Amino acid sequence: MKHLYLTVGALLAAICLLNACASLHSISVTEVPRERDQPVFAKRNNIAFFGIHFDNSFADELRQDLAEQCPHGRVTGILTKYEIYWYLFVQRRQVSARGFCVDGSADTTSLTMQTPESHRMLARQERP
Amino acid sequence: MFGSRARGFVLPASAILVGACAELYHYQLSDIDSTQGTLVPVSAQVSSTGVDFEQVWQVLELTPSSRQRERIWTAQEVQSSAHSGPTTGNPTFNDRWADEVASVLLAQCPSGRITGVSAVREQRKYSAISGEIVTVKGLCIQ
Repeated sequence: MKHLYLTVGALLAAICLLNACASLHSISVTEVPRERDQPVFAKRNNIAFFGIHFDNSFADELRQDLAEQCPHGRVTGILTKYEIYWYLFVQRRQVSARGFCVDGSADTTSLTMQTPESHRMLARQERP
Repeated sequence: MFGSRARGFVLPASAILVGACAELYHYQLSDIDSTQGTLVPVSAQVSSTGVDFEQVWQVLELTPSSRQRERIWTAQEVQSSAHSGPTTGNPTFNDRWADEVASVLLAQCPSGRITGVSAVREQRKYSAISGEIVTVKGLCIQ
């Protein structure tokens, strides 16, 4: 019986440690470009016991990380997420940004700004 | 002065109080345009004092008078019913404290063109009192 309790306890602990509890705190997205063949990604993490943090500067370099991946263009269509993961007593905060590097001279017409009619026209143009 | 057990509690507690716990609520990043010219970093921060009423009520409930406690519970119910819905951080004394952040940022950028704008909503917690903060950083195109 004691062996069974130990096994179940170890199994539960392993599930908690391996999976972690994740929560999404904020998400935002900017205008999505038509040209999306150069994806860029950056993330920053911050870990603390019991979730006691003393500053929030860990995400400050995120913009620089993205800009370095697109030095002569424009990073657009940026999906920014702020998530928190718990591993028992340890909390990990993560801010990630995923976007697209667009050449400075390229047409960056936003999909979000298009009307349903322009979407239909675009679909007709792209159809072989 | 303190026993070893008390020291074990007081030292981490004072470290937390002095350092203040930092809470991050929201992070947002706008498009970054590196094609328009020289980029100069600019930043603006606005803040307001927040009050953790839960902690205030807990302290006030320590009063020995039962009549006083009843009054406190009534005040607590009035306060909690006045603050409903999703929030970030503690209640502040007005809702306009962050309105100036954009103009503060623009004042640092004579060209008026700012790219790579990151907006952060955060809190610094000092027991029952907190600093409710909005920080906006960007790159001024010169």
